[in-house]
Amino acid sequence: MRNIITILKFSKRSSTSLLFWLSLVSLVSGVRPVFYVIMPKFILDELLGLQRPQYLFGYVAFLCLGALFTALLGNLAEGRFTLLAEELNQSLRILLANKTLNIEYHLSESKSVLDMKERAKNSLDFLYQLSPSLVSTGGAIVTITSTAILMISWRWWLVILVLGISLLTIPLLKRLQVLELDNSARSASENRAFRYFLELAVDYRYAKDLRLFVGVDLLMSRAKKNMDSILRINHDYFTRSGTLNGLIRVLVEIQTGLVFIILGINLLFRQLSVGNFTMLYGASRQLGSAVSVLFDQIRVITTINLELAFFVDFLRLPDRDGMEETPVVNQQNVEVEKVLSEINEGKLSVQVQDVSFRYPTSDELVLEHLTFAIQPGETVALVGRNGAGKSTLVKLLCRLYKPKSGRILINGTDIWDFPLEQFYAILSVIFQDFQLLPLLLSENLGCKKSDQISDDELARIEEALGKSDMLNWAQALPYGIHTPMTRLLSEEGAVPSGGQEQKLAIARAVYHDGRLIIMDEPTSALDPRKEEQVFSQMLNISQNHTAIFISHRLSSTRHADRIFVLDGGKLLAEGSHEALMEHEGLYRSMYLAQADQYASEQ
Amino acid sequence: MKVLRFLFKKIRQYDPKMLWMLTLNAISAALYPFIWVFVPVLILHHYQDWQISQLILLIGSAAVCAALFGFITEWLKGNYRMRMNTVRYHLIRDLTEASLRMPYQNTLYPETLDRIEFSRNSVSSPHQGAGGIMLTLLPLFGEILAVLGFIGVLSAVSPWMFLLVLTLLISNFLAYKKHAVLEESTFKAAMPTFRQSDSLTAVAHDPLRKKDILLYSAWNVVESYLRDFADKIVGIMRTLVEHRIKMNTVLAFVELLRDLVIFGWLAYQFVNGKIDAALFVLYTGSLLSFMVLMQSLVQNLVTIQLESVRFSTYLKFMEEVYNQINVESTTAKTAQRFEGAAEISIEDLEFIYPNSEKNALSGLSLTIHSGEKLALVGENAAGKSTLIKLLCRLYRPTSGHILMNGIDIWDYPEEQYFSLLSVVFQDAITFPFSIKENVTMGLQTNVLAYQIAMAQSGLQAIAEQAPKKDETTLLRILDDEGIELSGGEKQKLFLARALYKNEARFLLLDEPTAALDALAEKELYERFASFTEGKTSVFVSHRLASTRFCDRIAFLKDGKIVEMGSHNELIALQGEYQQLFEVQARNYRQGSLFSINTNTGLETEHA
Repeated sequence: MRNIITILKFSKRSSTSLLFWLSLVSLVSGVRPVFYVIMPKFILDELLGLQRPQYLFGYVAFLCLGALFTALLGNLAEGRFTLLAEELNQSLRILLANKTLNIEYHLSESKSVLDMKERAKNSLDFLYQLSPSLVSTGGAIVTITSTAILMISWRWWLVILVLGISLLTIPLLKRLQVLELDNSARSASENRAFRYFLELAVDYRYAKDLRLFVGVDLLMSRAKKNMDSILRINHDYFTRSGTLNGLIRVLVEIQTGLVFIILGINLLFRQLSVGNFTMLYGASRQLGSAVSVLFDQIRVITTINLELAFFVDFLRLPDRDGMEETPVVNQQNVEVEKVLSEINEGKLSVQVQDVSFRYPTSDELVLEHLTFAIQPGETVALVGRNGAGKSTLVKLLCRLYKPKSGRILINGTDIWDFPLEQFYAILSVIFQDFQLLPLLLSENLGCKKSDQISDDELARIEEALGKSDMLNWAQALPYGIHTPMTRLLSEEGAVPSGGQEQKLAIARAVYHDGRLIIMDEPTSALDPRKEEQVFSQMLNISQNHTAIFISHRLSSTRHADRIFVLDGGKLLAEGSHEALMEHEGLYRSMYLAQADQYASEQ
Repeated sequence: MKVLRFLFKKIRQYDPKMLWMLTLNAISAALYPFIWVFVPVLILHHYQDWQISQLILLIGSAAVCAALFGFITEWLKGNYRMRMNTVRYHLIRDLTEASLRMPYQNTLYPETLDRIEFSRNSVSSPHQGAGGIMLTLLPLFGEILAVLGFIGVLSAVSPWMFLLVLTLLISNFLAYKKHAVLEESTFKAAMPTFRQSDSLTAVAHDPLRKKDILLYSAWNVVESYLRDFADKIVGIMRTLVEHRIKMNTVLAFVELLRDLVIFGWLAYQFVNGKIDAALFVLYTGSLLSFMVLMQSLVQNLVTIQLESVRFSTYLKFMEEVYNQINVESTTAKTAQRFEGAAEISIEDLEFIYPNSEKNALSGLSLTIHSGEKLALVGENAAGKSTLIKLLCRLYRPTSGHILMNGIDIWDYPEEQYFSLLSVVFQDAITFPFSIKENVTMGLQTNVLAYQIAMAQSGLQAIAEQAPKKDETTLLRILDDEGIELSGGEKQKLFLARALYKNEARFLLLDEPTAALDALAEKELYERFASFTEGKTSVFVSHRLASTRFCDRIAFLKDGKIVEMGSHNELIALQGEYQQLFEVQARNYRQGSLFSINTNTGLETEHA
């Protein structure tokens, strides 16, 4: 029950109201069947012995009104409870999404964490089963108590008999539970894979290649492999669980038969009136079925509890370093404050000291003892062959990964010593594979809900759009800068082209106004004119900032103050374009490889 | 009914055992409720003159029957559900296949995408659409049989009693139906909210988005949207719950009326000596069971009706796609004999995207000679990618023709045309399969062609570095050991895939060097001649220097070819091409520096 309780504690409103309505629903649903067991006895007694018509009709009326009352109350309570449960479920979903963002960066795209997240997400679907389960459990307990009292008043051992036979179902139920968990463990990963293939049906990024390279057969055969293995796992599970469920039913029927025989014999020997016979028979049927419902629901609840463990475990995955604000020593705090105010004045230097790094899943060093420094206000270009470690270095600078050894300092302070939010405020980054959000344009820049953006901020957003030459475009949109990007939120949403997206990403970086600008391959999809435009814009906004550029187009990077040439994770050379061109070396040969193509024809 | 017929056909096709399960379950589920209704009646009727042995015999055999039917019902419940899932998975798979095989052009229409989405919804849950229908069929048949039995008992009591019960049940049916229709329409109206909430949640879950969300502290805005969606969803649920409470309240009063009438009437009959205690028990018992049964029958009928409507989208979509595919394949088309490189002539080609007034291509004519290397150049949005898609036979021209060796490309059988064609798309992405499978894209490998493609593209060297060589999985989505390729490595992979198709006579390369470093780019150009040998090729690139490896250059602007000729000719022409070339070239010349103090690169260009 531990996980269920943990989960219930996340409820936005007090979980007391959840529990209140739950108990009310349980009480009503538990009392109802007992009511139907007791009332006919009185009616039968009237019919057979007492024969008092006014009582008879009174009982009938009472039975009917009682049924009405419990129906109304149960109905109301159940509705309230459903809504509260839905609210809880929704907030848990948001919690899960938030956690996904906060876990260690390198974990986010690994299969095992994706599988785990899949199970965590699925376990929330189990919550929909939890509410009816809790209701039936509560109901069953009420029914058991009241029918047991009825039966004890006649023969106490009848209750023992009924309960005794019910106990026999426990090992069967245990076995069922093992099967169920095993099934969900074995099929989670396969299910995710199968669903992944099916997502391809609507993912049109794949559609062209699949058609032209006639890859549909390959894809469908892979999907079939997953499907077959899901079906095999399913087949195993349902065949065995079907037999167990069948056996439980058999026990219940045997129980009914036995009780019936005992009651029948008593009726034969006139130990029981017809009314009591009917009532006790009904009571024992209700008791038997309530007990099996109870056991079954306990099994369901423990299964849900175990499934929810995936959710709880996922929430307990380590957060990224620096997520929890460790209380920093005062002295250090003062130092960070000082550095931050220096940075705000526009003085930002970067020192990379002996940094080595390899990805957690690989043995290969991507960066090896890398050391360099960038002076305040300097514009630096990182160049090198594919796989030289340039993009990795950017990820380290952004604190997405921690260096394996060595340190990265900003104004002499290790970047990992800054409070996280303040650190992000220092950076304006455009990643190679940057992504805009499918929300309003203003929200993409402001990173706030549009109704919370102040007039002042709005003016700055427009200014940023102006700087990246997108203000006219934005103002021509149906809702100006409050137009949704993509059609997700509205049919009238705007879909920017690749070049426009790139400029919007620049505008976002401008608005963010970090003192350190990092731009990774921002122009690969642009035609020559737009490329030049974008580069001149970038150089423009990087004035008065410390900036790092990465590009394969060496005509663009040559204007940087200094160029760092990376090769195999090491710093091969550094200097201005002119200085680097004076010596034979990687830079010169790369530059000439491109420039030669443009040499004039004469 | 059409939907049910279709579904039964699929059941027969994918898991025919479900049919006898339905029959067996119907029988045992129909008989079971009678057992414990009749036994007490018999006892009450005869207890005054029975022996214990008779009593035990009766109850014992009843228990055996009940245990047997109970076992069967329970066993079938799980097994049937499993088989239902089998059929459902096949339906999902069929849908995926159909949407991958339908003409690519369909993807341009949002209606098509919506219909695929609806169809997917109608098979993706075990409780909705096809799953909902199949699950409901299981109890339904048993209930129908049992109801017939009870009607027999009831009409013995009194025919007008039966009529009364029936009337009440019909009102129940209408109430449930009304609620179900409301539920359906509410959910349909709420679809955008659900879709938006799901998509935005997926954005938050997407590993690729994580960097940007973190660095720009954008979670807050995402979260406030998610909260709004959650509130809306709870609001929708509230509407439904409130309606359900109202409906159930009314139904509770209807039930009160029903109970009063039935019990009152039975009591009255008893008081007047028309029935004895045993019959009283029998009638009340069977009436109560009958009510429960009818209630569930009514609900199940409503479910089947609604889910059939939902599932009919699937049916319609599949029919249309296969009609389209059939039309394509019957109007075709005998395979053409083919030798040497292809000759392509484009005649007066026009293309307009749906929902757009502007021509993406207007009156484009062009001949690409056999074995020629043609460069396609122009600014973003000039129509280059559209032309490539038309050449790939992904879109049909609005008017005009594309001929390959004198025959319209749409008159080739699809497989033949695709086998003659090899493409590297600019926006291609890798599949979470092995490197080898990403190259061959098929179930069998032509070893020789594979080795050549690996060597020519330079992918060989990359594969050798990978932990499991070319068996290494790409991406970690489906394999923890999977690897991620860099942009440059991916471009080599896509090139290898294009080269692997060794019967190809027509090669289309859309920006194959955008992510390559300077040396890798140069290397590729040097090998360009060798892998375009024996093929006609079209090369799209923003790096204009690369076009000098081509025989001719076509300069596209506004969907038309405005300049055409060799590099030297076009430079001499001093036109658009020359200007664009100059933009790039001047930055490589010594001492040149584009102005960094103004962001008006475009204007200086025109000045």
